[in-house]
Amino acid sequence: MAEVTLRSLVSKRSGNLPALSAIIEATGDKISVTDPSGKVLFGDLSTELAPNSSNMPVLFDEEILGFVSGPMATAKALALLLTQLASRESESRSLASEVLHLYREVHLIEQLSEQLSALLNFSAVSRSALEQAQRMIPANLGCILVTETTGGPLCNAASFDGRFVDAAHGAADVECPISSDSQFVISILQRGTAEIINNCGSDPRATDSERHFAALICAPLRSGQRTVGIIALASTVAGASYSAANLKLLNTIALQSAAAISNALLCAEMVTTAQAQAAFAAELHAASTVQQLLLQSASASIPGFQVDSVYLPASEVGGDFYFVASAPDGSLTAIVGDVSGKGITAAMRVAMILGVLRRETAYDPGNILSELNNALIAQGQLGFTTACCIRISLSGDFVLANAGHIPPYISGREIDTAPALPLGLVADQTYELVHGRLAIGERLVLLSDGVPEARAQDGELYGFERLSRLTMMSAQEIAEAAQAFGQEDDITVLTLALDAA
Amino acid sequence: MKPMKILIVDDEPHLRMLIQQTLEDLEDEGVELLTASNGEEALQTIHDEEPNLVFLDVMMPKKNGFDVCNAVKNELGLSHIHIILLTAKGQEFDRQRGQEVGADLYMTKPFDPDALIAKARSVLGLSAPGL
Repeated sequence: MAEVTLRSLVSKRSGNLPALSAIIEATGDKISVTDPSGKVLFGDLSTELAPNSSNMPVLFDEEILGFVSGPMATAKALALLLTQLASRESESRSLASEVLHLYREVHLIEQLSEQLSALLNFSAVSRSALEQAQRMIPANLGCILVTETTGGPLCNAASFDGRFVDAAHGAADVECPISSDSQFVISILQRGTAEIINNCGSDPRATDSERHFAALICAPLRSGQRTVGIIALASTVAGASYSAANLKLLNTIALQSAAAISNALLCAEMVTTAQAQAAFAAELHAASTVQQLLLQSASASIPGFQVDSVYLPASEVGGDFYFVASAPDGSLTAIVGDVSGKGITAAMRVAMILGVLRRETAYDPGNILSELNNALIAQGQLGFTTACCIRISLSGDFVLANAGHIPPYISGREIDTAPALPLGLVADQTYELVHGRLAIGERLVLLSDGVPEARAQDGELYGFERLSRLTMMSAQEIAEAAQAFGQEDDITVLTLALDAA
Repeated sequence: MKPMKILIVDDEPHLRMLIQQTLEDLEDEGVELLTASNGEEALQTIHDEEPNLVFLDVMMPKKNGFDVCNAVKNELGLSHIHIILLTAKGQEFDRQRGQEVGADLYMTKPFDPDALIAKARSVLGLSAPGL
């Protein structure tokens, strides 16, 4: 701020000029006002001092602002008036200076708010806040220390000590100018109130590493109920000190920054979670593709038979399976099953079962189920698996075995099967065989429990009564009807019929 | 050389003083600061003094800032005078009107002292202090 001068007091825009002119005119004296160098600012422009004239100094704040020359009494009175005007001017300038300082602060805080609201990057937010703090509060050292979890360690998010570093540019690897272990810093974090140490050399609150600071100021970064870290500034300039106004300002910056830092941390966490979810979804999709390929290859075309299959997993991957193969005598072997559990675990078990079935050399349904049961037991604790296996000759005679699965249907009629434990529970089980005959024009339907257990929005189950009517339809129609009713589980339908020719 | 002049126009005496105080460092560089407290006085001063730059409040008695700006830029043939309109923060500034009357820029009050003096230096072609 420019100092008060006589030039400013008698300038056109000061507003003093008309009154001063009127006073001089009223006295009728030759009066001149000069600055300390003798330059005439106002009044009689002749520089020579008239006889009987005095040169009265205009004093303000122990300084000579200039002189009033003229008859002693008038010059003295005018000098006193100018001193008084200088005092008023100084007060008003001081007040204006404070207002302008506040204007600057308001704008810097506004700028900070705008900057922070546009940033979601933790490192950039910390840097921006610290840079703005440095602009507003004199300091040659500073840092923002952040804890990602309540009670967790403080990490250097941004700091300056001659040069600026932030989290994205190795802040964690440089020694923070204000230690995260400092008892003073920790006390600010714990108590959540800002503080100043103005004589670090002798103040007991300062730690040894802070003794060489002249002054230290620190404010908590509070976001809601949580303190996410601290912002600290220090000066090593001899005699430097921080004021209550500095403390208030740092608190304001801290408040603005804390919310932005908190949001940035939350955003980073969400990005990490989203990335992990995306990676998992990609893996699940890959698993789904593999499973579809495995099941497609499990349904070979067998001469003499019409085989249709539909597989609709309830999620990306399913726990149902089916497998169709031909025997050397031209007969067809088919199996439909359902493993307990869901998701990737169930899908892995399906892949393992399909592997066992591909290597299977037995053609008798009872033997196939027994060997599959033992293979599952040998794999360890894998839950259980229900399955129904059938072998049909080219003439339509069939034999089937059931391990706890939904019985098959022939043209809407359920085939009675003997009760048996599902696979994978007890070793060396045998399965009772059921014999029957499939006539030309009839359709044998094997399905999973996803069909009868389809559930409407009001909770009603599809049920077995509807199911018996449904099994007159094609595999596609059965699966779609159950899905439309309300799919809750994987849906698998396999239909077998003899070729009419 | 003709001295450079800045005219500060605001009906609020405190605002005039704050702007003067912000700009008074320029006086040491030969810039003359002039003031006016209403639109009519502003027009008279602009006519008489032809300042290089005018900080002009929008909401003023007698003649508002838009009218003064329009007169200077479009009626008095003084379009070379740089005019910065000052508008109160929170008050909707009619940008279209500002453009129509030929204002060069608008700033909001409370103004940023650093931005205000930087703008004045830029318009007058003065380098920043210390450079």
